[in-house]
Amino acid sequence: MITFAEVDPLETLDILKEELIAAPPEIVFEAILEQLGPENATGPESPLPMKIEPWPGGRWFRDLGPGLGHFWGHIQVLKPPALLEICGPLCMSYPSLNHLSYRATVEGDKTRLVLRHRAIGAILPERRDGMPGGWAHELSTIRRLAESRVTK
Amino acid sequence: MATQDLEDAIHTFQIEKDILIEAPLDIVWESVLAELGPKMQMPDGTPMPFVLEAFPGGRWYRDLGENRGHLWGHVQVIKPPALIEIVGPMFMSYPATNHIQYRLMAENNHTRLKVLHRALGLIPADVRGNAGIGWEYGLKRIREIAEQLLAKRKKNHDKQ
Repeated sequence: MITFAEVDPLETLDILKEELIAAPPEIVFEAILEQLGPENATGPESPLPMKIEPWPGGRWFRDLGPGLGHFWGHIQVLKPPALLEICGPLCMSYPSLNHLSYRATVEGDKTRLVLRHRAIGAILPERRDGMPGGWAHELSTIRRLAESRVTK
Repeated sequence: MATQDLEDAIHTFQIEKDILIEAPLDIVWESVLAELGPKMQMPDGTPMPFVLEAFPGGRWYRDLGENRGHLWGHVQVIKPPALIEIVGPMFMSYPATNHIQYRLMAENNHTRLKVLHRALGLIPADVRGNAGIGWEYGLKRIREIAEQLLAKRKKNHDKQ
């Protein structure tokens, strides 16, 4: 069966968040990779550990055991400690294009981390509405991880 | 969070170019892979070497060493010496997808090379306006590389 939509279902998404972190960019970058990997979570009590292969074209995926899992994207740009970009479907199990960037810049003795998530696709309203809260939680996790490393 | 007006945000473009090269198919194929890989240059002549993993699903990427770099795409189709297709973000640091196709056809003793680049995404106006410039230069480079390879082959043949 082929279904053609009479109404164009495409939507765009643009989320911009930033956080000032009391740590140097090298430590912040390590914390980003940790947060995208084993420390990934969708909320305070919702761990969702992922794997990230830190090289151009490396996969970002949920590993559910041998041959099982969810692919979320590929690393598009990796330039530690300043820039990480990921492209891929992310959590969207429908036609979509996502681009995610983490940009870290020095600000005095701290690091400003800017996260931007842009997407096009048949994005479901409940998914779209939940995204900003998810990214806010992820940024706070990165800050916690980075600042705890500085303390150590 | 902000959503944009779709008519202002999502764009497509299509670029078609072709060139007749005075070299056989196998030489032009080798030249296409060289230009996509170690011999790639920016339109101002600055070297910008890439790595092309020449198999289905292989990466096309800028290797900056120590696992740093830029992924431009993956090989979607590879059928030497007639067809290579690549799909991926290319240089676009925003939601976008690109499809690039190089098709080679024998034409008498020469090779007709056709390149087709189609894109869809949140593509800014300046990128859409300048998209053809790089392809003009890329095809010129492929012709130069093919001529060099052909001259080398003739030289080796004459030695024998």
